[in-house]
Amino acid sequence: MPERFEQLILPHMDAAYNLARWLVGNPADAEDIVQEAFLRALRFFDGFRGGDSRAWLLKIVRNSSYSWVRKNRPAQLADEFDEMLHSGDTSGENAESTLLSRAESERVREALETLPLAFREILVLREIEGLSYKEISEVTGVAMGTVMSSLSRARQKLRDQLGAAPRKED
Amino acid sequence: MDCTLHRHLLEAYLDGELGFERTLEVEAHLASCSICSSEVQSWKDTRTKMQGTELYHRAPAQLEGKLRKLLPPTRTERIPWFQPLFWVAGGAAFATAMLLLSFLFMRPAGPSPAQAIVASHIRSLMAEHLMDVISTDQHTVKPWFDGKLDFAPPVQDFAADGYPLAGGRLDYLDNRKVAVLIYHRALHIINVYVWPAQDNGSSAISTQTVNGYNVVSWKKNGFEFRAVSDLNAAELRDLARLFMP
Repeated sequence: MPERFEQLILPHMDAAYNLARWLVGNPADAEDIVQEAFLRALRFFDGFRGGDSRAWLLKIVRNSSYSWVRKNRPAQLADEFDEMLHSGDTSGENAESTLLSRAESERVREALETLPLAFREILVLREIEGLSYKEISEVTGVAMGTVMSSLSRARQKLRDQLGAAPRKED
Repeated sequence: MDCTLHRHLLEAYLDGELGFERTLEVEAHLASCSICSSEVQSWKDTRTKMQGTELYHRAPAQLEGKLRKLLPPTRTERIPWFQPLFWVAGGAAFATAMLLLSFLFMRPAGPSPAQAIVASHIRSLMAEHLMDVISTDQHTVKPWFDGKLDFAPPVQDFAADGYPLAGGRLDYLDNRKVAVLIYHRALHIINVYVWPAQDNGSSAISTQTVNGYNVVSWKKNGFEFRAVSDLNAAELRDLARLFMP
C-alpha cells in the first residue's frame, strides 16, 4: 500500500501544492493543506479504484482548501459570484509603481489573484495545471457543460481585470 | 458560420476539446474571420503568460520529506487495524508487479504496455535521473546516442512550436535499450520513447490515459514512438504531429 501510494499519488505533489497555494494564497497554509490532504488521501486510498490519480488527489486538495477558506476567509466565498469587483483596492495599493511598467506575467498573476475564488480555481486548473474539461469536472464535481460556461466567464473576468478590450457579446 | 454563435466553440477549440471535424470547421472559420482569429490569438498570448514559471507554485523542497513521513511505516504492528488492508493492497501490488514482469518477459518484442511506459516516466521524474545528456541542441543530443544504441533515433528540436528539446537519456523497455528524448511544454516534462519498429510502416496517433498521465503512441519511418506526460492529451498529440509532418 505505501509503495502504490508513493507511485500513484506522490508524483502529483507539485500539482497539489500549486492548487492549494492558488486557492488559499500563502505558502505556509498551502503546505499545511497539502499535508492534511495527503493524510486524507492515505485514509481514503483504499477507496481509490484506479483511474485518474491526479484528479483524485486534486479533488481532496480542493476540499481541504475550501474548508480552510470557509474557516479563515469566509468573505471570499461570499463574493464568489459577486459580479462587482472592487478593483480600486489593488490599484491604490500599488500607486507608486504603475501596472504598465511591470512584467507582463506579473500583471496576469495579480489579475488572477484578485479574481473570485471559483474563477481563479478554474483558470488555474485549466491554464496552469493543464487539466481537460473532464478532469476539471472530476476535481470540482460540476458537470462538463458547467465547466465550459464557468471557464468562459472566468476568462472574461480575467480579461476585464487585465483591462483588455472587451470581448464581443453573445 | 454565424460569428455570434461561436464563443463556446471557439473556447473549446482553444482548449483542444473539439473533435476532429469540429476543429477543421473552426479552423476554416478562423481563416476567414478576423474578429475570431484575433480573439484566439489574444487568448493564446494570455495563456503564454500564465504558463510561465512565475505563475506555477512548485512545492517547496522540504515538503516531499514531510509527506514521506506521513506514509505508514512498513512495519504495521503499531496500527493493527491497518494490517488486513496492507496485506490486501500488498497482494494486489505483488500481483500487479508479477503481471508487469510477465508482460516484460513473455511478450514478443513490440509496443510495450502503456502502464510500463508510465512507470518508467514516473521513475525518471522521481529519481532525479531525467537526463543523461542535457542540451537544447539537436546536434548535440543526436551524436550522444551514437555507439550507445544499435539504431539512430530521429532527434528534432521543436522550440519554435513551443516544445523545446531539453535533452536525452537511455532507458530500458520491453527488455531492450530505447532512446528517450525529453521535451518541455511550459512546466510539463514530456518523455518521448523511441525504438525501432518491426516494419517500416507508419501508423496513426492513438492516446491512452494511465493514472492521470497521457500516453500518445505512433509509428513513423520504422520507429515506434511513445510520448508520456501529465500534459493534456490534445497538446501531447500536437507534439506527435510535429514528428510526423
